[in-house]
Formats: sequence, structure tokens, C-alpha cells
Amino acid sequence: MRMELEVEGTIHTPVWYQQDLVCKSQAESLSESVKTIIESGSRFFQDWSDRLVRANRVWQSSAVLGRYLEYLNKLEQYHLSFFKSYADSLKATRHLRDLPWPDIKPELWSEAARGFREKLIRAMADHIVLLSLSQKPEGVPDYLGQFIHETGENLFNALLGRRAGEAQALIKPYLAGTLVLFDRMKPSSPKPDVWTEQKLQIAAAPVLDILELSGYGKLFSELYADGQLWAAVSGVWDRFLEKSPGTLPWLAAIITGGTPRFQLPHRGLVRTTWSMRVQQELNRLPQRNSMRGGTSGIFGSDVIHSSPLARYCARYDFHNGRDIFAALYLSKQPGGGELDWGRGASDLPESLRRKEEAYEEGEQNGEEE
Amino acid sequence: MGKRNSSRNKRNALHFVSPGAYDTPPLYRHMFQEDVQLMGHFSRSRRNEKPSLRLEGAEEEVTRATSVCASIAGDRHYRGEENISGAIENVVLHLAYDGKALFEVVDDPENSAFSLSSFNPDYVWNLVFSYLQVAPRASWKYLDRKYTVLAKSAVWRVDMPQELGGARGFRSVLKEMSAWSSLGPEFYQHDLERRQLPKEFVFGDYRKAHQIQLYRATREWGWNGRDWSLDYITEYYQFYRHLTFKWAQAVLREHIAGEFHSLFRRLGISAQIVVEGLSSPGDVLEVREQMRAGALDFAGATKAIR
Repeated sequence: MRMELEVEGTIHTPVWYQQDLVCKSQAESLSESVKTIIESGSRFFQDWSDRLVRANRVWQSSAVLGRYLEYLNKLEQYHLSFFKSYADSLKATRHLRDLPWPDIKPELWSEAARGFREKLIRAMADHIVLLSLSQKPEGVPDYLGQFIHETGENLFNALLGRRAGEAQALIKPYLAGTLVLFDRMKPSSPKPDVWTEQKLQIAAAPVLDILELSGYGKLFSELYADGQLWAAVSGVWDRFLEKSPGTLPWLAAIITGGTPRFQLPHRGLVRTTWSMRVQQELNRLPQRNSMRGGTSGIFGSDVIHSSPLARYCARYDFHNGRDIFAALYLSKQPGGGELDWGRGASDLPESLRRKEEAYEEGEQNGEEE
Repeated sequence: MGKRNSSRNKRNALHFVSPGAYDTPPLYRHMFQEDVQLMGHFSRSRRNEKPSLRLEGAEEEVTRATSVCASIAGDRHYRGEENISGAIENVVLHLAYDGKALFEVVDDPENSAFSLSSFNPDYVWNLVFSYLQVAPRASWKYLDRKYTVLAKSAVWRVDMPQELGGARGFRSVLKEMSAWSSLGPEFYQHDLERRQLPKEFVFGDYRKAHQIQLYRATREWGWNGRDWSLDYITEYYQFYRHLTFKWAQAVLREHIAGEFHSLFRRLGISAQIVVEGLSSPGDVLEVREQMRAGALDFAGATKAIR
């Protein structure tokens, strides 16, 4: 426009057109910058972590993954929405439709970030085993604990999101990690006092997490009629119990005695959050009116689903994953029938049977949706 | 029959070639003159398209007007529209090279018709009631006279319209376009001829300055120097100039049609040229204003102009 000014003595190009040019340039820059932030930034962390693992520096590699997780969290939770609204504001100023603009698709940014997050999730899960085999240096944060916690959350999301492949990849290192934590934190003294009991409850918390998630694996498998979800979970347990059958009594003891009776259990808030999300999912199931005991009976409603377990959990707000896992899997393992798995687990099969009968009765009475 | 007192029955003007007429003109000046000359081709109808020009009036008057036009239309055409088109192109051709066109009006009493004969506008002095034409010394040996006096009543003069700077303004534009060589300054060209590339001289800067000077000289015309690149300007400014050029074409078109009407009136011919289906200068300015306001995009603005 300097030339225009020199030629005309004034600028004829109107302000809206100048804005279009500036916004177009900014849109191009934004598109390129966001792509660089997502792809180059993520690859930088990945490559750095991989190089450290190859050099047997797993704790340093964990530190990099920790920062990478923070990077992606901030990117997905804050920055991508800002970039999207910025891109939208640039598009809103556009006047000229025939001026070629970069094809900005914020949904592709989110998709790309999700792709890198999936790789990070697996890398953190793989690090659980690497960190379990290595002595934590003095003064280094508890990356093993962090990655076990993150992997638990990721496993829950994979089950809820019906991603059997991801669940299968995560549960194996997760199981190994929780058992390592239990082994490290369980009380060494056989003296049955209050401190020993507290230590046991602290050590049992991560094991209760995986038992809870395994139960949800069974529930979601039936809820979604997706056998692969349960196969991903049960396959890992089958192989583990085949190699370590002596673990079964420990698991029974953890379920019955691993939670304090009159106080909030360790990691109880995490498990309650999972439970609420399960309930939200179950609340989406359709319902129908029902009547029990003939024409003078009681009116009520039934959840419509082919699985008795899904119907039962949806109807009675029953979503204690570890009881489901104990009742429908652990108690049926060799030697598991003789062990005490707690009241919730022992009552569940009978409750399911009754629910099935009531549902069939309702179907015969021709209940309406 | 119309009046006959405003003409002569024989040609009186001197016809010669100006010194330097065959010299190679500067490139951009030549291109500009060609493009201005092409402005006169608006009346040529395409296949299956209605001609944009026609003569209106009584049949006899139209015949007389056609005869006047045919005298400068180059090849004589059967259709009146083609004769008037050819005459307009001839006038624009002279305007493109000199900024003004001079025609001697010759009366042919036997055929009750007038004809036009162009003569060189150089070496002509405008006196009060007449034009004094003095031939350049180099052409004296080819002529029977060294000078002649032409009564103004026997001359039809068409100047570039005032909106485009008039004849003097146009010649000034041509002079400015001849001032800079597009190939670089003389010392640069001499160095190149000696196969030496001067390191201190940045040709890109020269080219930019040359384009600024070119655009500045043709600002009123909106000529783009046949350059559709966007090296130094915005696309908007490029279209702005494109529409300005279209406006100049419309101004020239209306001006020449008006001059023909004046000529016909002088010769007592009751006919007039009607232009149809083409944008007027006001129309073009309206489109340019709509484009400025963002109501029309570039493609829409291009389509809106004919």
C-alpha cells in the first residue's frame, strides 16, 4: 500500500479489505503455529523421552512424560478452545469470499492432540513396569504413583469409551503396578494393631482401584454388549491368577478388610467419581412402566436392557465395581468359592436372579415403554 | 439537404510524415497507446450479439451520416454500423497517438455528400479563425507548399476529453512514460552491453520506482501496464485501477459519440449515434463505489461492467 500511497497520494484500499488481508495472514499464521504446537511440541517430548529410555534413564524419562502430560492437558483444556475462538473471530471478519483462506479445522486440532495423548497414555503405562524395576532416586517425585493413578483414570475412560484395544494395553501394566505398590506398602509386622490395619488399608487402595475397574469392565461389556471389553480385562486376570493362584485369598482379604468402616477410605473420592460417571451412563437407558402382582399390584418402572446386570445396576444405583468383579469372576475361580468376598458380592447373584424373574414377569404382562 | 457553407470542396491540408515518426517508441508508451487505441473497439459486435452501436434518424440522413463515417472507416462496409465503428476506431487511433485528431471536411457537391480526411496534428498552430499548418523542413521537397491556412469551419477537431486530461494532458502522460526506460538507466544498459553487471545497482528497486512512475503518470486512466501481478499492490487496488480504466473507456466512448453529433449538426445531418448495452461512466463509478463499500466482490464488479 506504500506504492498506492505514492501513486495516488491516498489509499483507496478500504479498511475492511485491509482487515481481510491482515486476518487472512493471521489465520495462516495461526493454522501453522497451532499445527507446530501440537505436532512438533508433542514429538519433541516423545523423542526426548524415547532417547532417555534407550539410555536407561527411566526416572528422567518419567519427568519428561510428566511435563508432556501437563503440556497436553493445558493444550486441550485451555489453549485449543482459545485458538478455536480466535480462528472463529478471524473468520467472522472475513468479507471477501473469493480470497483464498487457509482451511482451519479446529476439530482436527483436537483430533491430533487426542492422537498424541493416546501415545502418551501408553507410554506412561509402559513406564509403570520400568519404574517398578528401578530404585527411585532420592528427591525425585513419585512418578510411579502418578503414572499408576493416571493409567487407572485412562483405563476407566477406555472402558467407558468402548475402546477394548486401549483397555487391553493398559490393564496389564496397571495390574502389575498396583500389586507392586501393594507389596511395597503392605505392613511388614504381623502384629494386629491399629497401625497395621491402617497400613493395610493404605496399601490396599490401589488394588481396590483395579478390582473396581475390572468390575466396571464386566458391567460395560454387558451394557454395550461388547464381549471384547470383558475379554480384555478377564484375559489379563486369567493369566495372572494362573501364574499366582495364591493371590486370591489376598484379594478376598483386601475386599473385605481393605476399607475402613467409619471413615472415608483411601482413594475413596476417586472411586466415587468413577461410580457417579457409571451412574450417568446407566441413567441413559430407556425405561418402561411396570405392574407387579396382577391388576391390584404395585406400579413401578423397569429399565429396558437385555443384561440383568445392567438392569440391576441401573435400577438400584448399584455400581460398586469390585463387588461385581468378586461375585461374577473372582468367586468363580478355583478356590474362590470358599473365600469370603463380602456381603455385596455374595448377595449379587441372588439379586440378579430375582431381577431377571421380575423382568420376565413384566414382559409377560405387556408393559409399555 | 443540409448546409454547405461550413466546408470546402477540395483538400487543402498538407500531408507529411513527422520527423522521427518511424523511430521505435519506448515500450510502455507504445503499449499504453495500443491499449487506448483498443478502447475504440467497443462497438465491434461478437457473433450472435446485437451491435452496441447504431445510427438513428431518417433513412436519407442516416445514409449521409454513414457516408461521412465511411470516409474515415478504412474499408467501406455495407452495414452502416460497421462504418461508424470504423470511423470511431480511426478517431481513437489518432487520439491514442497525439491526444487530438484533426480532419479536414471535404464537400462533394456532385454526390451531395461530405467526407473527412485526417491530417497530421503536429506542426499545426491554432489561430483565431483558422489553423496554420507549416510542414517540417525535411518534407518540403516532397510538397508543393511549405504551409497552408485552413479555415476552422473546414476542420473537425477532436481532443481527448477533459476528464482524461485533454490533449495537452495526454501528451504529458506520453512524455512522462518516455522519460524512464523499462530496461534500466543508460549507464546500466551500457554496462550490460559490455557484459558487466553493476553490483551497486539494485534493479528491483529501479523496477519498483519505474512502476510507481508509470502508475502515477496513468493515474487518471487507471492503466495497469499490462501487469496483473500483485508484487507491489493489493488486489483491491488492482481492481480499482481496472474499473478506472473501464471508466476512462466509457468517458472516451461518450465523448467521441458527442463529437460526432456535433459534426453531424455542423454538416446539417439529422442523425445521431445510439450506444446500447454498454456501461456509462456513471455506471462504472457506481460499481466502483459498491466494490469499495464491500457490496460487490471482484467477480461481481467485473460482471457488472460492459
